[in-house]
Parts: sequence; structure tokens; C-alpha cells
Amino acid sequence: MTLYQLQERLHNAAFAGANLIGEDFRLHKAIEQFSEMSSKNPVFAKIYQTIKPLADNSITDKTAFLLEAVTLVDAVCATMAATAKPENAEKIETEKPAVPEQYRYSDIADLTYALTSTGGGRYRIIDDTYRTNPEVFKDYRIVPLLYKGIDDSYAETGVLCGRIIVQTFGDKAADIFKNEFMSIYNEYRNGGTGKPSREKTKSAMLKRFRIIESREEKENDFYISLIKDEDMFSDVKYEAVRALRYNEKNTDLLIEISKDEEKLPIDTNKGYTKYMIMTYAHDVLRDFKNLKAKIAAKSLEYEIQAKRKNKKGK
Amino acid sequence: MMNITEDRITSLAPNANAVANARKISKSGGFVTLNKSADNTLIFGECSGSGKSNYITSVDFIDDNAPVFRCSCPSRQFPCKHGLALMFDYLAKENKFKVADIPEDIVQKREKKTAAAEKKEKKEKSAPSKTSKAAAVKKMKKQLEGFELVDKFTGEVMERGISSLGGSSTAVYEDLAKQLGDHYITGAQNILNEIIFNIKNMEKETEISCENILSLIIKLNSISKKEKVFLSEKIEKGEMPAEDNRLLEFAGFTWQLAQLKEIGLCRKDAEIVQLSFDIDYIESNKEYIDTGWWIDLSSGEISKTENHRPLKAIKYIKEDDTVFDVVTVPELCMYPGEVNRRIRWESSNTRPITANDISKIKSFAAADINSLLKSVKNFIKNPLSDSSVTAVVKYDSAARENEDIFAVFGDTYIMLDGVTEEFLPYIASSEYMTVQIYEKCGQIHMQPLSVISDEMIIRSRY
Repeated sequence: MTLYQLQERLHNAAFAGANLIGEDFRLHKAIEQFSEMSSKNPVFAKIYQTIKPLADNSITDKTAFLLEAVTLVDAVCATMAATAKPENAEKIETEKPAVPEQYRYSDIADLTYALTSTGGGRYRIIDDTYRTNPEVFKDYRIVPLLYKGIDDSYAETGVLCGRIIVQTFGDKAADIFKNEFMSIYNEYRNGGTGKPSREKTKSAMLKRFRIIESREEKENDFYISLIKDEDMFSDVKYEAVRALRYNEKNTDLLIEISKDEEKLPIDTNKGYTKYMIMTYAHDVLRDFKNLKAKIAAKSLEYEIQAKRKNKKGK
Repeated sequence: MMNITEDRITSLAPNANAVANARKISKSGGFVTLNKSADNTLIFGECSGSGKSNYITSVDFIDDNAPVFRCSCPSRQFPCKHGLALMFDYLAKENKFKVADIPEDIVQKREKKTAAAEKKEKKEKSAPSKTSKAAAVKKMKKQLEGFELVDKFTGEVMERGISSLGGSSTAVYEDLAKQLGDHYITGAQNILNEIIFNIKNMEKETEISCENILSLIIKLNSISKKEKVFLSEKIEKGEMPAEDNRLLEFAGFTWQLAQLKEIGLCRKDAEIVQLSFDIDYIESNKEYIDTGWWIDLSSGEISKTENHRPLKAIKYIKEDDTVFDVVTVPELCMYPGEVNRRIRWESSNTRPITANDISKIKSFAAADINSLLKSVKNFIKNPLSDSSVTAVVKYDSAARENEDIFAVFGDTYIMLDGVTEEFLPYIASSEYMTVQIYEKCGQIHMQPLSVISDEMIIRSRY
């Protein structure tokens, strides 16, 4: 019988109530076993003297005795608290970090509130702070909150947190989100019976896509890889086609997408999906100032208008 | 001479919003006139606001340790954003302040204030009247009756068992908590409120709530036992209760600074540095508590400031803030207690922290971890003590095993709680930190509050 076991028995007795101690055979047994330890030192002897009345059936009201016993045993247990004994702890080697910028509570209170609470108005606080003082998002106290903020109940706030991370920490952070994006996708594609639902997967991927997209043309290869992936969700593809607008070098690809309906790598045979993607490609092209694109866009306009008429006719 | 620094402005502000609004006024050039007195004891000006006429604002530094804010705006916040904005203006563009005569109304107000201070000093020095002694005895008798109610409650709960609590019993206990307030034992009332909060939480987290309730009942019972002996003696001797004893706090005694000074719990010309700051919301008592941890630069003693802001009065109570500078306090009052005593002061000033101050703080770090842990365990075993001790420690390194992080002191490893990956490099590259030390499931744990690097104090919270 250890002191901690006795403490557990006494706590259980307190949870059950002093009027049930008479029937608590485990406590009685613990007291009996503890009597052997009482000779070991004066503290244990004192404990035994305090717990002994709890096993005495002639005492009817044991409330005060129980309280006294729990108080004493808890106090002794506190003095016995040990330090950790890790078996394979390794020293953390790290370069000395740069001296951080000092922020007062009043400087970051609003932002902390916005990142950790619920309710409306928080998006504006985060956005305003990013516009006026983006440096604060490098603070070691804010960064973990930003990561948690990605799962905010308001999807837009989550995307904003992610975008700030990507903008603040660059390639490294973008790679993390791209890896997350792919692992969510792969989990859905390869998953067995317990795989996440199509809708959940799609929304988690779209959220990450919107975060990555804040890097605009830097992620052009990523957008193209999504468009070329035959199995990719069409909703993600829409977004990827729209993201081609960040780089005018995508003109040829956009023209190809806009023109050749049959060659579009899409996971559905529905003509509408292809039509939508073509429209997006057309819209993006129209935004480009490139002359070649303008010409292409002009001719496309006729094509699309014709398609619309055909669809209405059907 | 006026000492205006950013740190000082934020520490004088009632809350974070007031600081932000003041900055906005200052940046947008809200003050149409900016003046200062020739003797550099007053800044004043006119600020355009939403009202028809400009607000007349001044900050009076006749006593530099306790600046007086005056403003004609209708705000109930004190000091208002205009006074703080005037200080920000002075900090940013001192040369734009024109020397002008001190306005007549401020001269008169200064005279009145001096007279009031003299009157207050006289009153503090005079012995307590017979009426106040009789009233104190009457109050103590009422408190004794209150502790009888406490005993009845703890007895009932222990008899029935903690797990039987819940349901309709909370209404009865809420009523009892009110009664304890009527018996002037607000310390016991707060503990009972915490118990009620845990009872309500029992459905969600049964085991944790039961353990919490048990430790609170032990605390309540210990307080009651000691308070009854203490109060009975005081009533018998007909003494006023003020003395260096923490039991008074549990009984709900509200200390006034003059009383603390009277019993010698006051240090002159103290220099203190804030090691950490945080704000907690205490659901059971519906209040915010702003806690600052401070180190005395002459003794190394670590104390705390506690600013209680109940929700119902939140608008009117100043919110504390982070302070980076050294705070110089002419009269630093301490509450009764042994370790990490609560401190308070009426007036103060600031000066920038230096490398020498940082070295001094490091020199106070506990060198022998085992003797520190021994004294911590001896302290926390007392049910009337706080459940943790805050100290500055010197450690050799930080180590990791799976998800667990440890501070390493020679052969001794102590688990660190609440360390984020972002804060870890600061811990791993330093040797000194401020920690809260406590016991959890039979093991000693530490929660880092700040790392003391060569250049600065890096806080894990604020």
C-alpha cells in the first residue's frame, strides 16, 4: 500500500460520502495495510492515527475524521511530489533566436481576442491589424493562435489566418499548406470505409487552396498541376483556372482550355462543368492586356455566346 | 519634471481601447492647441471632439509620481483618451508645445488638492475611534456566525458525498453564498462560488470537478477552523483585526494602503521590474483578474499585483497592462503572506530598464533547485497557501522526450507545461526564466512565464 493508493481510497470515500464508509471494504483494507507502514516514520504514524477512526464501527459520524484524513494525506503527498525521470530525453539544440519585438498586452489584446474567441467582428480586427501592423503576426505568441485560427468556425476567418501565415512566412509555410492539401486529397482517394465525406474533403481542400492562392503567380505550377489532374474535384479546378489570371504566360493554356471542350480533363461528363470552366478561362483571358489574348477573347466571346444560345435552345 | 514615456502612458490608461483611441487622436492631430507650463509641471490643450466646443484637457505633473488628468469631455473613463492623447502628443512632438501661464482654475484645483492631502494624512495618523472599534467587533461576531454556516455546509457535503452534488442543490448553495457575503466573509464566499461552478460542471467533467470540489472543501474547512480561533481571540481582546496575517484576507478583510503602512508592510523607494503579466477570467466569480509578477531589484523578492475587475463594474475599473520599464515606487505596500506576496502602490514613476538591471535579476535566480523545490513543497502543502510558487530559476538546458519538454538542472529534470514550439527556442537558448512551480499528479511541474535573456525579458504571455 503506497501513500498515493491511500490518498485515492480516501478521495473515493469523500466522493461517495462519509455515511457510506462503513460499507467501504476497500478503504478498510487500505487502513489495515497502512497500519504496517505506520512504524516506519512519525509522519506515517500520524497518518495512521488520523485514518484509524474511519475503520472504527463504533463511531457513527465520520465526517470530521474523513476531512482531517484527506487534508493530512494530501499535504504529505504534496511534499512527496517527485521530479521527472525521462528515459530518453534529448537536449534541445537551437540557434539563438533574434531578439523579438516587444508588444504590450494592450498592443495585442484585440488581436488575441479575435483569434481565440467566437462571434462576429473578428475578421475585421485581424484584417485591419494585418494592414496596419503586419509585423505583429511574427510574434511568437500570435503565430500559434494563427495556426489555430485556420480551423475557425467562420471559413473566411480561417482562410485569412492561413493567408497571413503564408504571406508572413513564405515558401516554407506554403509548402506546409500544399502538403496538407495533398494529404487531404489522398486520404479521400485512398481511404477505406472510414474515409471523410466528399463534401468535407472538398471544403478542406478549397480552404487550403484559397490560402495558397494568396501567393498568386508564385504558385502557378501548382494551379496547372491541379487543372491537369483528371480526378481533381471540379470545384477545385474552377478555382485553379481562375488563379491562372496571376500570370499572363498562362494565355496559351487558357486559350486551349477555352477552345477545346472535348480535351478538357474533367472528372464529370456533364457539359455544364466544362462550359463553366471554359467561361472562367474566358473571363481570365479578357482581363489580360495581352493583345493575343484580346484577340482570342474576342473570338471566344462569339463561341461562348453561341454555346449559350444552343443550351437555351435545348 | 515630467517623465512621459510610452510605458508610462499605457500603465496609466484604463484599458487597451483607451490607449488605441488616444493614439488615433494623437496621430490625426486632434489637439488644436498644445501648451505647457514654464516649470514643466503641466501640459494642457484643446482637443476637437464630437461635441460643439473643444474639450479642455490637461495633465498635471505637480507630483510626478501621481499625475492628475483633467478633461471637460463627458467620458466616464478615467483618465479619458484625450488626456492620454495629450501625453502621446508630448512624446511625439514636444517642441510643438508652447509655454503658457497655468490656467487659473488649475491653480485653484492644485490648492484644493494640497489641502485634501493634508487632511487625509491627519486622519490616517489619528487613532481609531471607539465607534470604529465597536463596529469592528460587531463585524467579527457576524463573521464568526458566517463560519458556522461554512462548517454546516462542509459537514453536509462530506456526509452525503461529493458525487451526490448537483441538480437542485446548486440553488441552495447559491443562496448560502449570498448569506456568506452578508456575513462579510467574501473570501469564503469566493471559494463557495468556485465549488458551485464545479458542481455545475460535473456533468461534463465528473472526475476533474469532484477532485476540484474536494480540494476546495479542504481549503474552506481549514480556513474556517483557523478563522474561528483567530476571530474569537480578537473579539475577546477587543482588538482591531489589522495585522500581518493572511487569515484576514480569507475572512474578506479589504486592506487599505494606510492600514498596510500602519502595520509596517511598506517599503520606501522600491524599484521593481515586471517579469510577466496576464489576464484571467474567473467564471465562478464573474470577474477578470489582471496579474503581474514583479521582482524587487534590491531584495530579489518576487511579488504579484492583482487587479480584480468584476464584470458588473468592468467599465469603471482600470485594466492593468504590460510594463517594460523599471517602476520606481516611493511607498510600496505589501499584503500579509509569506511567498509571492501581493503588492500595491498609490503613486509611481518609471525609468528605462538597463543591462545592469537584467544582470541583477539574474543574480537573484535560485541556484540550488533542490532546496527551492523543498521550500515550494512545504509551502503548497498548506491548504491555505496558493497552489503554486513563482520564482526565477537558473537552468542548464532544455530537453525533449516525445511531446514532453523539460528544464534540466544538473541531474534533475522538471516537466515544463504550456510551452509552444514558437517559444521553445527562447527557452532552449537561455539559462534563466521565471516559472510557476506546482504539483500535478504527484509530480513537480513548471510553467514558464518569461525567459530572461541578456537583452530583455521575453514573456510567454504578455
